[in-house]
Amino acid sequence: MNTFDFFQKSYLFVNTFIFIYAISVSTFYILLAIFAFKGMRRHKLKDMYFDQRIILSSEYSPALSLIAPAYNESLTVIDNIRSLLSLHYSNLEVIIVNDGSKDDTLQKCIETFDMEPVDFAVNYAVNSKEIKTVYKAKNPAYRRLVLVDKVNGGKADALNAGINISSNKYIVCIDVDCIIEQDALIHMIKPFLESDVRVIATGGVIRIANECEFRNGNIMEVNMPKSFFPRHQVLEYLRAFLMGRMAWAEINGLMLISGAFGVFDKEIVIAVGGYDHKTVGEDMELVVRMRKYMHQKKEKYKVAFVPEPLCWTEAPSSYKVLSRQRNRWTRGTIETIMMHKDVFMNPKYGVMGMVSFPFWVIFEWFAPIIEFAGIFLLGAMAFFGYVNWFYFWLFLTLVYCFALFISTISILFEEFSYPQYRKVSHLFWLFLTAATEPFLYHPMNTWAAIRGNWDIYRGKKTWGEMTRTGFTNKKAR
Amino acid sequence: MDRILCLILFILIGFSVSTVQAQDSLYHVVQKGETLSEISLIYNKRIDRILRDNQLQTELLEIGDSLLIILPAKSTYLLSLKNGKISESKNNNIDTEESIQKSNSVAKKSFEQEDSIQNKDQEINETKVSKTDSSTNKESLYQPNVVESQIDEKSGILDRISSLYKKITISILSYNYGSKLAHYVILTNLVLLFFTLIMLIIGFFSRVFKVFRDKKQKRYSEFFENVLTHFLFSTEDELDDEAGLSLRYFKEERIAKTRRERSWLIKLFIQLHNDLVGESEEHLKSLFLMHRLDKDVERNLKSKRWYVKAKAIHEIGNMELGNFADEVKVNTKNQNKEVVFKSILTLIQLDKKNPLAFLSYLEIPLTEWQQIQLFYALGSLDETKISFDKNWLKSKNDSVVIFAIRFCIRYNRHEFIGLIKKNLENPNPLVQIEVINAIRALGNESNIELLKSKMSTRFSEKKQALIKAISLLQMEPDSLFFQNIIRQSDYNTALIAAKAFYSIPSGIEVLERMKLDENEPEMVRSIVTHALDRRL
Repeated sequence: MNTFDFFQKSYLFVNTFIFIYAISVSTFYILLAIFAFKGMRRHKLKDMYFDQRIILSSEYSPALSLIAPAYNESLTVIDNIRSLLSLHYSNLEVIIVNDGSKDDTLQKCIETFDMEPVDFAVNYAVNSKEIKTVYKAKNPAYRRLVLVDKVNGGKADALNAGINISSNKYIVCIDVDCIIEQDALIHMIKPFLESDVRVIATGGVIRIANECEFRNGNIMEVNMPKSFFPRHQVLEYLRAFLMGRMAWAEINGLMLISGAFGVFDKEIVIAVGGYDHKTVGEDMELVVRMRKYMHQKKEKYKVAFVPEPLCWTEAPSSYKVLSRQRNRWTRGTIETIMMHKDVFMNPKYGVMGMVSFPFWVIFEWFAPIIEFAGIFLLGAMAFFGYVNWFYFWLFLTLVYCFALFISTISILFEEFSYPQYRKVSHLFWLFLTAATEPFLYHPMNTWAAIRGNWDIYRGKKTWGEMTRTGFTNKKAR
Repeated sequence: MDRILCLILFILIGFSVSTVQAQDSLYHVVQKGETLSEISLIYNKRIDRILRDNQLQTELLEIGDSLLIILPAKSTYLLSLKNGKISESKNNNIDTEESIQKSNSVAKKSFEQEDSIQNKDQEINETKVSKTDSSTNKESLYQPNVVESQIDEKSGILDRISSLYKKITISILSYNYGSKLAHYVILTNLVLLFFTLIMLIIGFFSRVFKVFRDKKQKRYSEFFENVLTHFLFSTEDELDDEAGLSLRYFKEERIAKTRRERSWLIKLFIQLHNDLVGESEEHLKSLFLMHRLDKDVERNLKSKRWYVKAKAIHEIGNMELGNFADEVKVNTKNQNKEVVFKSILTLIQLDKKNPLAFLSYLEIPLTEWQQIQLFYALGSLDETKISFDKNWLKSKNDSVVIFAIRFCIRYNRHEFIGLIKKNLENPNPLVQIEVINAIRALGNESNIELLKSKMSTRFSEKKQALIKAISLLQMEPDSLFFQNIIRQSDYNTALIAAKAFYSIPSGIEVLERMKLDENEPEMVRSIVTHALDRRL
């Protein structure tokens, strides 16, 4: 076999592989869209005559503990706490965990809400750094509020500390800089009550709050962000939540609940040992571990998803912050996958093992790498004159049309589920974003993911170093 | 990690896929009397290239040999186009114009036969050598399928994979597939664009429609609300001109004519109805009937779509339209579970006789949410009138038992305590916990021994319920019992016990002593301190 032949053969191999890969990705996306449609429709029809007062007034509604970790949030923490205290839910405990802030976050809270230390016997049910003091407000009007001061240990550690302090059956984990809609908890607890199998966790939709108007922690007017990065993230989040997560929840394969807003069954969280400090993707890792635990116990369970817009968050508006965030997400994904290799294609773990986990490995982890390699290969081939430009443009238009097609489906989902972008111009902007995304925003994203992969490869020896990186720049995940 | 659906990634996969198609190729089957130079002329390819592609050393050919001919892809694509756009051929990669015309004539011939011959792999050969006998020709054709069938049935999985792989690569490489691929890609593109456009138009229309509808709805709702409040809370002569006029319009049914307007009106009525009691409630209902809004509800009730039906039933329940009771009752046998449950709730709201009768023959479990809704609906009824079937407490359906026990607790049905206690033997811990709660609420001191006998359980939730029940029922606290639990149990149970003990007057003293006792373990002392902290 001569060199030329070898080239040709390896060529053919790579091309065949990528062709099959592309076809299967597209098939998956179309299937996800179908499942998401089914789930969304059912949810909406059921929701049509839902009366919130029933849950609010019932003595059988479960008690919730809301955990919000705060690190150097001095500027916004008071407003955020006020907003959390005004949430509509009768049996709620709000736990603010001060993760060893270097600024005056703790002092501000203590002064504003007139708090004092109490004799709290801390039970370290899950692993967390030392909890120094627990504060409660003297004013009974704030009796829902608990403030925890602990040694700095990162977001996962702070959440674990909150779990140790919490006294209720379900825990709500949020980012303190998120804006939660007032009736959010009522919607989030409903899947736990409705289902006839045990629900171990419920995730909610995250929406982009940039350039929207807020008053007293309530959203007053929803605007389409005009700036480049937030606008693209709006579309990205619509796709990810309304199509992706909704579909995964529909086939009970949801593996990720955003750290920004999720409700968990505390008993199972404690049984699996709480959040893991060692990964930056602690939110995904926890859900995977909880699911594994349920499979090992051979108990039927469900991870639910609520498509109503309940949680708003500020998205990164500069490339620097965005790339750091995406880098971290990539590392989180890879770390989670590496920690639970045994789930891959393991029929013991049901839908997660056979469908969603392989999907994450093949289409979430490998995709940016393959894409990057594709550009590389293309460049090299163009240099040697092997590129058939006719087919190049043909396939380019094909993938572009498909991308546009899927994005438009997600815009339609937004329009027909719980539309937040109410002006006609909003829809126009969304579509324009969908049209430009492949050329500008997407390559940047891919590059950030490649850097994440590279960091993992390089940083394998210094695993522990990464513990804290996630928390300095925490945004919606 | 929201990368799920970062689909545009494979914009670049497209890039790389395209590199596959750098060349198209076909197999030429050598016919009687053909020479290599002739073949070279047909395809406009140099002889040495053909030799190299086929790894041949000599120029001697045998009849029936298949030669791999690699051609620039675009030329094959053009070849396959029926009308053979010669104008484009200037831009393509084939060296001379003469040759493309030659190939075009080949392609034209091939298309003439396209309808009659299904196997496209055969076309090129068929047309090219029209002089020779076509039947022998067919046999000598190169067919990828033959390759596969030649593989031994017993061959290993590796061979199978390799044969499959060969097949795929051959089909990608082969001439006809190559040109077909281009057709398909263009077709898919057009289909995708078409659907995108359709969705976009739907989206925009829906948005425009909704913008107008929302504005209108807002105007209507404000207007109606104004009118209704006036109607309910002021007398006729008190009305100022504007409101009086509106009310007259309203009474004369000059507004709310379309179905949508009426459905908004129904919604508004229900909202107001939920906030009102007494006389105004009656007024509102009479207004509802006067406007014949019940006709809309009736029509929706007959709908075949379950959600329209369920909504109508919901409206009947909320407006307390008693005359529909029979029709609602029919729907308790509906196939859709939502409709069935909604009908049951509505029957409760309509205050019908024995609305809970369905519990006796219920086989599927009641979910927590359904129980909450049932209690909410029962809340509006006169509790003495609600009939209770003691057989529910003996039901095989655990959720019905739980519901029945909760019912007894809620309405203080002391007389059933004996029956409830029998359920303590139920294997389901959730039922046991509910029984313990019932004993706590309805029982007396005589039950303490029974409760204490159950203390050796591994379910901490059950243990906690037991401790709470014992602490509440006990007149004379058994200090030793509590102290032992605090010392021996896990954190949660110990804390519950300490808190329960704290609520008994004489318990505080004992706890204070425990707190200061240095012989106690550190954990016990901190738990006791925690329980003693009034603020927690």
